[in-house]
Amino acid sequence: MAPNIEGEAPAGAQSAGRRDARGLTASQRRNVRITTWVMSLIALAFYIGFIVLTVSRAHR
Amino acid sequence: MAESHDIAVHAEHDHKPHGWRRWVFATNHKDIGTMYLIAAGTMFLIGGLAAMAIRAQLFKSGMKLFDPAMFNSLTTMHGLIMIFGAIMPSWVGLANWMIPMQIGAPDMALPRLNNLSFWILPFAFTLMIASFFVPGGAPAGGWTMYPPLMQQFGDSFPMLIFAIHLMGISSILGAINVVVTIMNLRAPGMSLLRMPLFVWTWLITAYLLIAVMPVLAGAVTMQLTDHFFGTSFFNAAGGGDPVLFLHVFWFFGHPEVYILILPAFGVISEIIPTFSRKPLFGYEAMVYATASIAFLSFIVWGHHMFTVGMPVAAQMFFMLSTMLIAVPTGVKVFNWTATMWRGSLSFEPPMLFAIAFLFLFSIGGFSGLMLALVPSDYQYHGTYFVVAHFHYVLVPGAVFAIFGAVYYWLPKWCGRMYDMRLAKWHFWLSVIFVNVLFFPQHFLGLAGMPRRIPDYAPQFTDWNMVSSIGGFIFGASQVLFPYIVWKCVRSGKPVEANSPWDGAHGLEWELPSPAPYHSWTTPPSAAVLAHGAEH
Repeated sequence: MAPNIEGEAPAGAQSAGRRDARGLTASQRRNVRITTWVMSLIALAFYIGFIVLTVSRAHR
Repeated sequence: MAESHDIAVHAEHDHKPHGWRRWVFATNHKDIGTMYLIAAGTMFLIGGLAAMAIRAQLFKSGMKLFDPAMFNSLTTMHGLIMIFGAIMPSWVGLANWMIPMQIGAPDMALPRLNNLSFWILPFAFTLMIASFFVPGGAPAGGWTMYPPLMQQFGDSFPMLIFAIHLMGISSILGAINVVVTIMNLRAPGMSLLRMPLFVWTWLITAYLLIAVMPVLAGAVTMQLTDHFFGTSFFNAAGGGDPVLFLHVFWFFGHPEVYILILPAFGVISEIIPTFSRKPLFGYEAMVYATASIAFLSFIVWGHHMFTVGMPVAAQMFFMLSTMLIAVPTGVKVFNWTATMWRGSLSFEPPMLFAIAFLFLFSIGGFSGLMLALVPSDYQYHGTYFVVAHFHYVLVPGAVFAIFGAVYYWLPKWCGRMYDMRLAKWHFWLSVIFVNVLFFPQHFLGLAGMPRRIPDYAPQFTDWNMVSSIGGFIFGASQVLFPYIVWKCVRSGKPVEANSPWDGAHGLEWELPSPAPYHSWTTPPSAAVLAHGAEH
């Protein structure tokens, strides 16, 4: 269902009413965006958090 | 007539790109999954050749095939290649293939990110392996990369750090994609507690990856700045502390072990019910046990470094929390056994690998419990007993589960059945010689043979010879596996039904075989879901 490299969508998706070319509804698209951001920020927080933690422990 | 119409519609749905563009610009989860599996297989081969070289050097006392520096490079690179290049990408490949099909989704939620996650890897692998050819040779300080030893290597040091960063970015992007897909793209009616166990274990694995891969990235970045920019995070001369690296590394390292093994638990939980022709015993307990194991993995890192020195209270904490992991793991082993109890068992290759997993992973688990005991660990630490322990967990554990998964789902992927007789030969050769390879290493460790040495005292020769012979035959027998897959894809007997396994349940088995290029273009209906759902 993901668009292929030409950006076409399979027939099933096009006939599926409120679904977009990838077969996702509007709320799914919004939730995909939100979840992606939250997960990315968690990863970033662990990266920065552990460097800060190490700095604070290394030079006591 | 209706059938030919279906085929025409099916072909129209496929309209896949052809040639190199199909693979370089791939956004289809099946294509990307296939590329992951091929890349992982290649790395298995390279890591396996390094393992054979190691066992050749250790065949008898006094062998001088490689100088000690090269031997240390081989052990280091074997570990790094197998963990980051072989096992992890294998699981990501299986996740790409199976998760959308199992939850009734059209594809992964972020297909272009998926493409990026994969295509980072060949560059990372090349960078890592190329370090063999730079002045000073490949990194030789062990896969754990402890400072200050790690910083004493030449050009290979920044190459490895950069390769680790690339592989970490790839893993994090892949894990984000898995979480986003599972949380948002499940078919209507596919509630969390109806998801197949493989999906559940991968969801939990993805959370582990998101939490700990950045920690590894941070740790190696700090090593890089210590080496090139004059910082002293881990440099005692500048007021830093090398032991701190061990803490940060193992905060990543222990969950990493579960990243390698949790998807295996998922695969085994799919295979055993199918070939027992019974529903999985204690589905919810399995889910909660997996989550418990993941939680505990964050609070046990100290057991890797008891001998470094830490307060008795900390030793007690890490010892007891580690032993606690036996409880949810025991729940799993009990539930798999109870699923088989009074089932209508049959012993096709996936089931054979699953049963071998059950026995041999448990051996690795029990030796892990021995290592969790602080006084015992002081004896075993740094010996071949540890090598035997983690190889039992990772080879007849993770790798056997990967074999089982491929033998289980390959007919669905390519619509053909593999040569069952050859696959059983592959199994029996593997299961016999993996034990010949690794079981004697317990004896060697208990007798005091240290790990990571290119030569040893003559009294260790006999069991080392046995282990090496086991290693050579085990390694050689793995050639069967790519041959079986290649033969199946090219000329295997077509599979008529949606499922070749009469006991299989799950949405992936509701799709035709081979699975169409675009599957679940419309979400499965409630009836299909009810028929395919396992619970």
